[in-house]
Formats: sequence, structure tokens, C-alpha cells
Amino acid sequence: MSRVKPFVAIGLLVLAVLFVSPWMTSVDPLKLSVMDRLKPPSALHPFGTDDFGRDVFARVAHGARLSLIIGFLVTAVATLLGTAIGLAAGFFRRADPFLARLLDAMMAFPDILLAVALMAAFGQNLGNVVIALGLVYAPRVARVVRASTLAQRGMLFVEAAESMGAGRLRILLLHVLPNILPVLFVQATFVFAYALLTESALSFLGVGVPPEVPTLGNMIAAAQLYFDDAAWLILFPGAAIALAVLCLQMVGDGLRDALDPILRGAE
Amino acid sequence: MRRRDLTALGAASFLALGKGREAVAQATGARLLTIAVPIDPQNLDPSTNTANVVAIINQNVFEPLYTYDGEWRVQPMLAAGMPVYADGGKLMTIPLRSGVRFHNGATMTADDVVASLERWQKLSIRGRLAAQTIESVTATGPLEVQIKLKAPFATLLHMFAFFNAAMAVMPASIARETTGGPLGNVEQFVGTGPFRLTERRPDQYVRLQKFDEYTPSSLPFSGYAGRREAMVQELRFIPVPNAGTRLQSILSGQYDVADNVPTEFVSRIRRSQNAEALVVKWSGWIQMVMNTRQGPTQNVLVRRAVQAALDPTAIMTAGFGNPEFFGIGGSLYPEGAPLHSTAGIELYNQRNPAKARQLLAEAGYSGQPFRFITSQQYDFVYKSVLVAADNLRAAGMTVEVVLMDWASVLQRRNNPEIWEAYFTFHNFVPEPSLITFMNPSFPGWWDTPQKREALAAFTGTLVEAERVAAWHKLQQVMMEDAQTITVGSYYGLMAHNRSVRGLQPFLQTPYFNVSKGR
Amino acid sequence: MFAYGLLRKLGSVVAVMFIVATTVFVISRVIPGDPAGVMLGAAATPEEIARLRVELGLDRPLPVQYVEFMGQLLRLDLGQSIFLGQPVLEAIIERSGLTFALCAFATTLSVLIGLPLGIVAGVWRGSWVDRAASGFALLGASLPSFWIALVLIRYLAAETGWFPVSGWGGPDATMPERLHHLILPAIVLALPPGVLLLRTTRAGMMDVLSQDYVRTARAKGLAPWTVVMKHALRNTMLPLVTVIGLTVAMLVGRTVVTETVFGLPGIGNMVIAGVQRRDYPVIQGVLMVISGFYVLLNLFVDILYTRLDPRLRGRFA
Repeated sequence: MSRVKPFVAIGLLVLAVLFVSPWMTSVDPLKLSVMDRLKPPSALHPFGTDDFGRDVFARVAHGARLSLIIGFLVTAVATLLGTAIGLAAGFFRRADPFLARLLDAMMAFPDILLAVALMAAFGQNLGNVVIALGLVYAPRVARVVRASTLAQRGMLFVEAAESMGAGRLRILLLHVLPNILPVLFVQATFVFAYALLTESALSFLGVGVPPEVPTLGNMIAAAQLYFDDAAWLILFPGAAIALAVLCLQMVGDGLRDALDPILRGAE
Repeated sequence: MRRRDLTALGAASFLALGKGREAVAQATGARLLTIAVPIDPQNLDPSTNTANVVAIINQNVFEPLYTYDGEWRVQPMLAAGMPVYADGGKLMTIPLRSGVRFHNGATMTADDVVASLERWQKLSIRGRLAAQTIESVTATGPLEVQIKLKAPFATLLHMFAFFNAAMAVMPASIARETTGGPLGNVEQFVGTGPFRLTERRPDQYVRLQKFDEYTPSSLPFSGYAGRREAMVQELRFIPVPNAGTRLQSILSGQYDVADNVPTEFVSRIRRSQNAEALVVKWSGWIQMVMNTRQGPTQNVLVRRAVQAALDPTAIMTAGFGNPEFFGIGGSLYPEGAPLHSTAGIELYNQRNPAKARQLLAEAGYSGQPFRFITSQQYDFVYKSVLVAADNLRAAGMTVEVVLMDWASVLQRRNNPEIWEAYFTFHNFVPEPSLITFMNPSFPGWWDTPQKREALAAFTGTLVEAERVAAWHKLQQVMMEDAQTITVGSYYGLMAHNRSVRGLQPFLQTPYFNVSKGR
Repeated sequence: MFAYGLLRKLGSVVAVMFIVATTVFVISRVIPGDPAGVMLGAAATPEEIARLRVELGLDRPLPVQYVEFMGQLLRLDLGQSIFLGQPVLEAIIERSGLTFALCAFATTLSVLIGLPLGIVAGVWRGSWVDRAASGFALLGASLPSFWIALVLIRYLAAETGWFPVSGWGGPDATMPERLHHLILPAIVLALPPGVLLLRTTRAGMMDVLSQDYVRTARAKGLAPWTVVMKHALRNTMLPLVTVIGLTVAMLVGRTVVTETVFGLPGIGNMVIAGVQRRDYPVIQGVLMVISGFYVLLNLFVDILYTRLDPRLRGRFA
């Protein structure tokens, strides 16, 4: 436990810093200055400037926050949807065979591929990215929730509540759900990390958020042309994605390790 | 034991690769020219597909009746000489070269040309336009074709010469078989060019191989015209959609030529040991189109005010940066070309907000909104609009820049109620009557009586001197009407390996007479 | 017992494939507006759109389309690619060679990275080797693969010329030449599954090494490495089979990114090109084939698993 906490704390702290980083710079990320294009990092522009002379630090800061917001929304959609399906599958015996097959089927699609196909069908905009990735990751949440719910079902207190005539929905929400929250939270953290990676890949491939929206993936895609001359255009946004994902994984790993004894005790 | 053998083998072959590369390059280099192109077209039909890449590939395979020389003058290609006109220009007789071999071994006859012309009139957008004036096409001898026209039609010769939606000559049997749609499999690509199409793999490559029995023209080589020769055994066109990868494939020496490279890399290419830069002048025009149907720009005085206010150098600098890659000057055609003209040029590049204000006052303009519809999708278009808007504001106009995606710009410009102006780009065409804004139904709707008269005079004459005079008049009207302002021309950039010789900096660069060696 | 279990498993596979197919159908009909119009673009005439609608069967009611779609799938007909002008299945098969080679190469690499590092980290738990390996794993799982690809291209291909920038050689390229083209893509592709393997191996090692019989073996004086190789590794192999199976499935999906960055004309590249060209039959077809591959692979791993572990025989979960 004692080794775990600092990792979680550091992870959360860095994520918070990434989120508020736009306030650390007063430079407008959209301000064009053609005379200053492709300037290497300096005191004035710590991450250099891009092909329009825009400040890369300001753009990375704003882009990181935007990517975090998209990732968070995806996680929210995936978690809500996944929890609903997982609880239903775990608790309603009749629905389970079908829902379990459905989850198997959805897991059969590789994440990026399914996301690409959904984006092709829905059309490219920010809302659709959130919906598509939410649909991609919901089954990954649902599986975990289903397994935990199945485990909880057999618990004495659930049986006791059932025998006392409590409604099923009531049992589900008041007794089962609170008990699986920790597991759910850990899984959500990982979904958040995957969502960040997949969203940036979609942007990069040109099938995600429209190119004019300054997400980190779009920035890297646009900067590919200049990689030879202006490596900072790609290195910094990429490092920002990696940092965010790394922190989320650290938080997830830390929480899981912290939960492990509890989970083991419950077995 | 076995595993160790395998590892050793792997390492050995890997090492051999590193060393062998140069040797292999020397052995096969002179035979093969690899060209990285930006897109893989859906079909390669020279007549139906207007994509630049298709023309670039096909002009090595198919040949037209006429083509342009280095000064954009029309020269015979498969024709034996210039057409002979009769009946006041309504009867056009084209003599054909004898003994010209197709890739399938057959010899070209008038019947092949007639069938090709019929297919072209049916399938090509330019051909369909020409079909409105063509009454009939007949073979009047084994090597003579006659075209009967409803009216004198000087543009037709340029439609033949301009290799885009091209009048490609193919065997009659194939032309008649394929009037339903584009050429499909490789066997249908039978032309008379110095290379023949031998293989196509979508997303991988298009392969052209030297045609050993090619029958060259006896004229001297110039531009696209004259004696063509395949100097390598094989041309391989490789689609590399990513511009960055295209550039790097040249810098690293992986491919020989890269077409359509973003111009800002010119210094990067020049610094490289492997590559050389080729500036392709007169790739296209930047135009500002104004609405003549509705709103303040209906008034020619307002349009002239806009013309007076614009600063072309500032606009082109914003759009293209490096002055090496754009030209300003007002004439649509470069100096030296037959259609270069200075008529009305004093109205271009005035940079005179005071005069603009005065014209606006005369026009009774009182701050009605002047709306640009535009998109950020094409960066140079967007930046040009920003500077133009600035110019107009300085002259006291109320300017709005309405942003949308480019597809919407193309769609919404059809509705005259929602815009006053837009910026667009137009590929360079050697024949002005093929420029879109000459068409009265093109959004902007330039259709004044003086324009109609000048355009009719221009397309109606077959005498070169009269044609040039008519063009000066048309350009004068264009300037005075100020409906579409050609702000400048932009140039393109190609990159090639230093070992490549003879590549011409032309629009749709041909690959005959191009060689590779030390 | 085994036959019964297999039968049940097969039934489940059929059910899953049925849902997969239905999902693909739903995705393809969710396209807003008229798919035929979208595919042909703004320049299309109404006649062309109408013709394509008939060709794609879009003029019929949805349930009929659904039955048709399923019928076609049973006949292994994935439809016709609009852009390529050839059957989708044929196009996929043409490109599968490259994708298969790439995935096989990457799987090998990921095993070569993950297994030794995992063993070492698991055996010397808490040592600097373990920390380094875990740090590498954490970092490797955090870097966006397209970013790594760009960095490798920039520094190992464009600048030094050690590797080709893109493609996999011309039509007459030799085997070693092709492999040379695939090295960088395979490294990029191998990283995430390599990390997964590393983590699984490490966890498995730690688990097994704490078991009583291993302690007994050690107490008996067996050399530590003999214990590791003979006892621990064999027992860790079991979950590793699953992970390697998962790895292959994961790789196939990720070729979408790798093949696009490296300009490799495989299945993954085909999907992105399909999106850009609005060639929906291609997207659907690849989705069907890859998910089908995944389901079959899972079945295969399950069977292998029961074969390897006698305790599980006849006990298909």
C-alpha cells in the first residue's frame, strides 16, 4: 500500500497539471505569426513554433486539455453503458446468455478497426468520436462489471436482501453497485488511457476529429511534413499524449494493487 | 543447432542487403524510373478521368492528334500536319501520320481515330462539350479524317492538344467496345505512346514498360511535342498519399521522382545530397470571383472598387510564402506564350484604397455587408481571403468572412443570395475558353454583352493573328468588368534524384526523354 | 466429454459470429442519408446513384437486405468493392499475405521481447532489472504507436537510410528485401503486445515461484535456473498461450495504423483507404474477416488450452 500511493498521487497530480496547463500560458494558440514560423524551442516559445508561427507550447497545452476532455467523455459514455449492460447480464439470468454473446461479439472487433468503421458510418465530428469510442469501450467495461456482479450475487447479504423481499432493481443499485464501484473505477481509468491513445490514432489517420480541431493527434498529423526540419512539432505533442496515458496507467495500476487485497479477501 | 543456423542466415542476408543496395541500384537503376505520385486513381481511363495523375501516367501511353510545344503552341503529334479548314472554318481535315504502331502491333488508320473521337465525344467532359458543335466525323481516306462543324470552333484544336479528359487515340475495336464506361483491365490500354501499360496493382503501383516498336514523330522535341523516346525500360508510378513520406522517399533515395511536393520543402530538398528541386511554373491561378446576380457586387463600380483596393503581392505572399512559388502580373499567360497580353493591365495591382472609396461613393455603396464564403481546408485560399478582406476594409467596406468546409463552398456558391465573393484556384489551362469563369453558368455568372461579344470573336476565328487580337480584347473586357480577378499564378514543386536527367518543369510532366544515370 | 464441450463451444462461436455479422450490417446501414450518394460523391448524377442503389440492393426493404446480407456471408461473398472494382474477398486475400507476414514477424518479436524480460523480472522481483523492465512496460504501453513509427522513420530511415521510408519493395523484390522493409513496422507493431506478454510472464513467474513445490525443488538443491526453466516456465506457459493468441488478434487490428504510416499495401491500409474513398463494402468486409479470424483464434486457443492442461479436459468453460 505504501508503495502504491505515491504513484497514484503523482499520476493524478500530473494529469491535473496537464488539464490546467492552458492557464499557464497567456499565448493564444490560434494566433498566426507567419514571420515566426518553424522557430526552434527558445525562451519565448519553449516548445518552438509551428508552420503558421503559432506557439507550440500553447497548442500542446490546449490540445492536451481537449484530448483529456474527449477521453473523459468517452470514459463516461463507455462506463455508463457498460455498467448498465454488465449489471443486467450479471443479475438477470435470462438476459445473460444473449448479453454475454453480444459482449463476446463486440470484443471480437479490434478497437481501432471498430472505431474507424463507426466513424466512417457516422461521419467525422467531435460528438461522433465520443459516441464511437464509447461504443467501442463499453463492452470492455461491461465484461468486468458482469463478472463482479456474478460474484456479488452469491454473497450472503444479497441473498438476505432478496429473502427480505427487496426489489431486484433496489438490490442492484443499493447493494451490488456500491460493491463493484472500486473495480469499475480501476477499469474506467484504463478505458480512459486507451481512449486517449485510440482518439489520437483516429485523428492522426484522418478519420477522427475534423482536422481543424486542435487535438494532439491532429497536431501530429499536420506536423508530419515538417518532421525533418522541426522535430519539436511532433516530439512535444506525442510526449504529451504519452505522459497523460502513462499517468492514467500509473493511477490504474496503483488503484488495482491497492484493491487487490480487498478483492482477494472477497474471493 | 538449427536455430543458430537460421539466425546466422538471417544476419548474413541482412548484412548482404545493406552492402548490396548500391550495387543493385547501379545494375537496375538505368532501367527503372520510380515516381511517387500523390493519389491512386480509381480508374486510369485517359478520357473519363480528369485527375492530374491519370494524365501524367497516360501521356506516356496514349498520344493525342495535336499537342503543345515548349511555348504552348499547338503542334501535330499523331496528325501529319496542322488541320486544313474549308467552308468558312466549318470543315476541318486532319492528315494522319503513316505507319504508326499501336501497342498491340496494329497500324493506326483513320478508322481508329474516328472511333476514338466518337468515344471521346461520349465519355469525356471536354468531348461532350465539343460534341455540341461537332456535326459529324468521317474517315475520308486511310490516313485522313474530316470533322464537320456547326460553326467555326477554334477551341477544338486545343481540346485535342490539352491532355486532360484527353482525346487519346486507341484502336477502333477497343474504342467501340468501351463506350459504356472507363477502360478497365490492362489489355484495354492500347495506345501508340513510347511506353505501354503492363500492370496495375491498386494501392501498390502502375507499371509502364518501354514499347520497342514505338514510331516517333520526325519533328524536333519541344515541350510535349516532337520526337518522343523511352530512355528507361520501365516507369513505375507508386501512390504515396502522405506528402511527408513522399518527400522523405526522395530525400532517402528510395524513389527517383516525387510529384506534387509542398513548396515549403524547397530548401530542404536543395540541402539534400540525393535530391534536386524542380519548380513547375504556371501550375494554376488564384482567382477572386464576385457575384453578378445579387447584392452590391451586381454594380460594376463596386467590383472596380474591389479591384482598386486589392494588393495582389500581399495576398499571394500570405497564401504562398516564398516568392519563388507565385507570380503576379495580370496577364493570364506567361511572357513568351502567344496569349501573353498587357491589355487592361493598369487596372490590376492598383493598391489604391482612396480610388476604391471614390468608386464606392459613386456606386452609392453604404456599408452593405460584403461576404466572402471560404474554408480553412485549403490553407492558401483561407489566407488569401484574410488579406483581401483586410484590403477591402481599408477601403471602407463592411466585410464578413463566412467559414465552412470546402465542399460546402462549392455547393453554396450556387446560391447567389448568401455571398458576394469567394476565392478559388484553377489549374493552368493553355486555352482560355476552357477556364471555368468564361462559362456564364459558373457561379459568379459573368455574362455581360461585351463579354459575350469578345468571347464569340475569340472562339470563332481560326486565324492565329485574329485570335491573338481577339484575346487582347477579351482580356480588356475581363479587366473592365472585374467580375473575376485573377490575383496571381501559383507554381508547383517536384523533387527528383540527382541522377535523373531531362525532366521538364511542366504541368503534367511527361516521362519520355527522361533518363537516369550518372 | 471433449466432443460435447467442443460442440457447445462451436454453438457459441456460431452465435457470436451471427451477432458480429448483424452488427456489421447495422453499422453499414447507419450511414446518414443515402449510402449510394455518399459513396459516389457530389459529382454523381441521379441515374448513377439509382444504379448503384440497385447494385447494392439498397432499394429493397431492410429485412430483405438483412436476409440477403446473411445469405451472401454464408456463401463467403463479401460484396464488390466500388473503388477497386473487384470482389472484396479477393482484394482481402490479395493483401493478406503482407499483413500476415507483418503480424507473424511482429508476434515473433513480441515474444522475443516479452518472454525473456518477463522471466528475468519475475525471477529477480524488486531488483533493478525488474524495475527497468516494469518501467519499459509502462512506457511502452503509453506511447502512441503512430508516434513511435514517425520517430523511427525520421531517425532510422530518412536520416540514416538504414531502412526504407515506406512500402515493401517493388513487384520483383526479393524475400530479404521485403523483410528489410518490414523491420520497422514490425517493431512498432510488436511493442504493445510485447509489453502485455512481459507483464503476464512476470506475474506468472512470481505466482509459480511462490508455490510450495517450487520451494521444495529449491530446497532439494536444484539450481535456481533449472527450477525456473523446468518448473516455473512450464507452468507459466498455460496463460501465455492465451496471451499470445490475444496478441495475434490485437496485432491484426493495429495494422490499420502501422500499415498506413509505413505505406504498406495490406489489409489495414485498405481499411483507411476504404474510408477515404467511401468504399463501404471494403470496410464491412475487412471488419467481418478480422473479427471472424479473432473468434476462430479464440476457439483454437481454448482447445489448445484444454489440451495443454489435462485438468481442464472436457471442462470447456
